[in-house]
Amino acid sequence: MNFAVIIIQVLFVPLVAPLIIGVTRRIKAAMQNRRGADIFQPYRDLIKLFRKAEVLSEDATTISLVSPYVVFASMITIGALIPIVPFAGNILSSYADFIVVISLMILATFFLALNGLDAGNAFGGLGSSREMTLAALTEAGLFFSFMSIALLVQSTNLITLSIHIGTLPSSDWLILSLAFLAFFIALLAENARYPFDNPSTHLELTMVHEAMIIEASGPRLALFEWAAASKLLIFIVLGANIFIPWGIIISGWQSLSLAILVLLCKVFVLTVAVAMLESMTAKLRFFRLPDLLSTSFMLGLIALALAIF
Amino acid sequence: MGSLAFAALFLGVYGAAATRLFVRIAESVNQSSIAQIPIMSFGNMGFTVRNGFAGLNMPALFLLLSFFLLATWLIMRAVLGKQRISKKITWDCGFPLTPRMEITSTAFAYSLMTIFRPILTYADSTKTVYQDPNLRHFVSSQSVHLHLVDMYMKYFYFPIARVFCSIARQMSRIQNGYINLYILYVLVTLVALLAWALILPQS
Repeated sequence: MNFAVIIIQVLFVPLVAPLIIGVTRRIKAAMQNRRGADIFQPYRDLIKLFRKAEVLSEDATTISLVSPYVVFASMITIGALIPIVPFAGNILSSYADFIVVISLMILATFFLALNGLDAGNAFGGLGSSREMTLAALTEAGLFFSFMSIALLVQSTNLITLSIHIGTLPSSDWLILSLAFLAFFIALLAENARYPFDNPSTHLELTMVHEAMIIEASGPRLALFEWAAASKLLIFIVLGANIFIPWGIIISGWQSLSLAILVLLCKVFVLTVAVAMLESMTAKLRFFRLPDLLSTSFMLGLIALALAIF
Repeated sequence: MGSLAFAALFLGVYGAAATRLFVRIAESVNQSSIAQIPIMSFGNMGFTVRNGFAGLNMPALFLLLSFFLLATWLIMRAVLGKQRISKKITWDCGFPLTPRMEITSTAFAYSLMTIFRPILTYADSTKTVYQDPNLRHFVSSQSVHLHLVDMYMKYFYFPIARVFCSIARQMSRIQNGYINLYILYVLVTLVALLAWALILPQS
């Protein structure tokens, strides 16, 4: 059981992540009256990129060679830690602290920003600058949102949070919903979604995430794209299994398969929510983004204050 | 630099074990037992906050991250074989790219500085010299000066320093170089102490 849970934890994020991107794109296409590509298209795109030959800048250093691996490995590590199937007996569960998860995300962002700066491309540097600006403003809201729930459950461990959140009295649901709103804004900002960034843009003036990986190609670009998809899924799973606390108690094989099924349903609902929101909002001007991020920060802060008092 | 970076990484990973050593040093100086502080307990590998509220095992996490890093590299190598990487010039959007076009540290931090302008007050001034000051068509030289005001210095250290300086200036009045006056201070102090000694036992 323990071994099976670890295998699921490690493989779920990389295997399902491209599908989430496919579903998001399909829903957005439907909202825009387009037919759209097949939901499995991101898998084909990844395979295509993995088969391609690679071109690197003459000015690129070891950073460009290493950073795709660090970014991808960070996402796999986070995937192994977060409560995909929250089973307390899991050997990795004691390391699943939310501060660790946020720190690993910052590690990935840091290497992504270094990659943008490495080749000396003007757009790459601009993308790194924008990404670090957004990251600096996003992390506070994300941290406060998790911290308020951690104070309610008296643990920062994500598996414990996920298992015990369902037992909270209904009086705590206000804190939970405020924390979820702060988390959801952070989800959009961290994953380069609307209104923060356009995930499919290739117009230099508006790029944030795409600008940082502009020099990457072939298998390394595939790793970056795969890591970005994994990050979106990680956030959606965190939202699903921490803020929507139903169908997550694991006791045997039957409940394990049921938990995965319930998780997939919750992930689908949240993916649809992200895609619908993306279709209905316009991208904000860069210097308007702090307004939205400060909303996330304030919501997180209010949730934290309510949790303390 | 390399050894410093390695030391920083080592301390980051084995922070808990290092803290245990530091606690021992602090205890030998202070003679009181810091290890008894109930809020945190340090193990050989990680530390836990009181009642298991939070815990961190950095060596295990580092090992996990390294394992996945190595696994990704090995799988990529096994599936794709040894990749041939061709080296080309950096994408330059049609311009001949020069180091002057690279982003600078000022530009990198500029958006954060703009967002936090009310707190991180910065001053920028542009000075332009024209070839003909009357026509102002052709610029002969232009310079931009960007200056970040140190918030802590301006609003914390300087005000405190000003208060102490003004107190010191007031105090300096009693020190004017006349030996007669100093003898008077001694006399006044002695009389005051005598008066105090006489009054104190009665009260």
